[in-house]
Amino acid sequence: MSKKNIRLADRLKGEREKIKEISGTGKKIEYIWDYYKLWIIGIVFFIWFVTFAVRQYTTNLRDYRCFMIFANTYADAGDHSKLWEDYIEYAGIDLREEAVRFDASSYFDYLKGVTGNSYFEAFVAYADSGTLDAIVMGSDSLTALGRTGRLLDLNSEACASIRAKYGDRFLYAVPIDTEYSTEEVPVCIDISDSRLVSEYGIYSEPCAIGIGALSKNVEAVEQFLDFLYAPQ
Amino acid sequence: MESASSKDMIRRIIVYIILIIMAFIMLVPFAWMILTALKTNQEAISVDPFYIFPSNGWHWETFGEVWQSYNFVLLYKNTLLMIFFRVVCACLTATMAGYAFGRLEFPGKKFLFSLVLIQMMIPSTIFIIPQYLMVSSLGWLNTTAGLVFPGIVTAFGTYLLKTGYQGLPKDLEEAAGIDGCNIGMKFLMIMMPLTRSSMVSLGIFTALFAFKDLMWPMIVCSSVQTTTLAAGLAKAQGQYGSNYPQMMAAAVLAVVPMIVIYVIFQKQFVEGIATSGGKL
Amino acid sequence: MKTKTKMTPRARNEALWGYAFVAPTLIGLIILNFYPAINTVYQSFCKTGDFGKGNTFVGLANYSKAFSDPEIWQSLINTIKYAIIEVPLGVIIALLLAVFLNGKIKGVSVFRTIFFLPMVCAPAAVAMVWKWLYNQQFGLFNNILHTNIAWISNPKIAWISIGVIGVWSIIGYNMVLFISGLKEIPGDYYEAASIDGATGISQFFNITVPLLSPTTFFIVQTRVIGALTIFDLMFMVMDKTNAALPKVQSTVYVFYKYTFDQGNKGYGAAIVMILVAFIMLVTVIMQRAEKRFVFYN
Repeated sequence: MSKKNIRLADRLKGEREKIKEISGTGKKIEYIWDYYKLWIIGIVFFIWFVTFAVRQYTTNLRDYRCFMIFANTYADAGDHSKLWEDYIEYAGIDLREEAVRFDASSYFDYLKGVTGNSYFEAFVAYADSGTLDAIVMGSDSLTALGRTGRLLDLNSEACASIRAKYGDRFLYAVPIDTEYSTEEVPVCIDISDSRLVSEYGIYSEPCAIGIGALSKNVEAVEQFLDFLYAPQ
Repeated sequence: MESASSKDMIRRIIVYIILIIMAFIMLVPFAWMILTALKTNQEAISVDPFYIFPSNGWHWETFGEVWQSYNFVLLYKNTLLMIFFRVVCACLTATMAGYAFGRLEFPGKKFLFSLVLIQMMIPSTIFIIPQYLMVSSLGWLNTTAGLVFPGIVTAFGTYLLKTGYQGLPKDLEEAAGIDGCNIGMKFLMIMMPLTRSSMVSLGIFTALFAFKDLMWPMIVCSSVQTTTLAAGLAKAQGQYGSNYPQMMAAAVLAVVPMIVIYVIFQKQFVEGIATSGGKL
Repeated sequence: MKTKTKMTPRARNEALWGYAFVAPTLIGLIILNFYPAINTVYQSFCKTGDFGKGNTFVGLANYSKAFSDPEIWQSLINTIKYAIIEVPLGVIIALLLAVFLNGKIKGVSVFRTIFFLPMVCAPAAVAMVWKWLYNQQFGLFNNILHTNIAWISNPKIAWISIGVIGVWSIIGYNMVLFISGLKEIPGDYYEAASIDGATGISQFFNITVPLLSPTTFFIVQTRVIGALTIFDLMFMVMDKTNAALPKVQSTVYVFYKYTFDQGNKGYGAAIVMILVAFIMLVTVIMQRAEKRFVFYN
């Protein structure tokens, strides 16, 4: 790199003159684009991004009334499915104020190993952040998952009314954490005989529902259970 | 003189041989992806080495099927948007911080830079859940803003550009200092263009890691409408009904834009230096 | 930090610019990374709540458990062994390739693109290929060498096999960084040297290596950190039932097992803290070495 005197003002002037010298608007634009394209693109996108982010911040709904995962099923149980619509109607939820999210594209089985499974990682993030309200999957897999403590202990205070109604359907598991309990703890509710299987056909094998350990919407899950067992 | 040139010749041939062998080794998995995409599922799961090539005809139609069933246009759009914003944000913040750490003196510089280093030492899995909570309380779930969020700043990039700025000759700045232009102008007009090749490699890596990131888009964009290629493919695929040829066809289609981006920007690498070197 | 008695207006001006320039990055890092990290530090002193029960403070119990757990020590050794393979080989091969590609060679951009390909390959494809290459019955390696080696399930060899995959996948990445470093070396140095009659190899050692040392140091530093936090290679290639797993699993893998698979976040956090402390120690040593070995203009 040779040592030269760099005069900024000169350089700016030089650039301006260079641009002036180039004949034709097309050529001029081409020149500017060649030398300053990253700048132009960068600034335009930065401004766009900021406005975009601010707009999203002001308009998006924040809280879920109910966030449920239907794991390991290929049936349509996601948002806007019949199950989703019927539940919203049953519970009388106003979607302009609260969001209901059914996630039916998660695939993991705790019995088969979950290390590095992104669906499982997503489940952990939802469960540990308290977003997850309930998860439905095959009974055996779900009881095994219940051992990790990510599902609510159904003996707890919050589940009193669920226990009263559905206590006979509880499934039990021994926690991995032996300090919590060495006895079996109820972790999920068997729903193999509910409308989820008979009417909607979401699962073909025995299935169960567990409540997220940090869920703040236990009543919404109870409502979902009531909905599943509502007389036609 | 002649012996020198024949020696030179031999050296060149050796270099070519090494390069070709390395290139072959590097190409294997990519060739594997394409070949698997052209097989039937039965052939694909066989580990017998004699089934390197598809034996029941070449199934090019898998690519078409995948293109249709995965809604690739939407996935490309979401992915490119995310990559673009991440690259712009990362380059912008990292070049500023890199310049300050590499060329300016201010009290507490060492301590602040050690924070940047420490960030790189922490396994990134521990950030996920707190970051998810932040995004959800900002209302950015299922949005591009949410996807970009963890990539706004980059410790790696800051460090990379600090190294780039430190490597520039000392007298550059002094020459500009005489003109009495302030530090901001000096940075913008003189120093920043000179580290263009570091910036381009930062851009390439940011794009690449954003593209490959599976966990974050899976968590933040639970809806297929807003998610990225990596997560969209995984979501659509399911963990168990694995169809390897389809999976690989999708992976090949997903990777093509990344290769194009790389080829474009590697040209920038070389040209960037040629132009800025000539200008100064 | 030495306290400066009084700053000249010029120095104060420079400091203000410095703070302004680092502010966006540092604020971002604090919100996105340090706040979660501090949370983890706190968690490592807790028994994290299962089944919806809150956290309970247990002091150093997690740490004393971790320090007396041979699994943790073994995993640290595994991680170091992996780094010893990946970092030197990955750096040297990449440096040579970068130097070759910086010379007058035909098809430079084709080679550059090819060497970069492993970086863009789907991880699933990479894992499949390597599993196939390492397969004991049908694998390419055993077929070519006429051997019957259990490359990834023999505890004595598995760590090398994993290390090789690590080297292979990182070469393209290191190479790109080296190329950008080479581009920033002014061409006049080489011109002057070739007038003096220096050959390619002596140019390499007298010009390229010293002038590239900031880039090399950067790559070594980030790769050491990267290798010590390695995680996905292990689960991608090795099954859960693999007999060699205890001799290969990295510390982050163990952390993941406790935090994610078993939901024992407090213990997992303690493991991460031990790992971070170890990496910090290595980094401090390397920063010391920087002054001796790295040449800045």
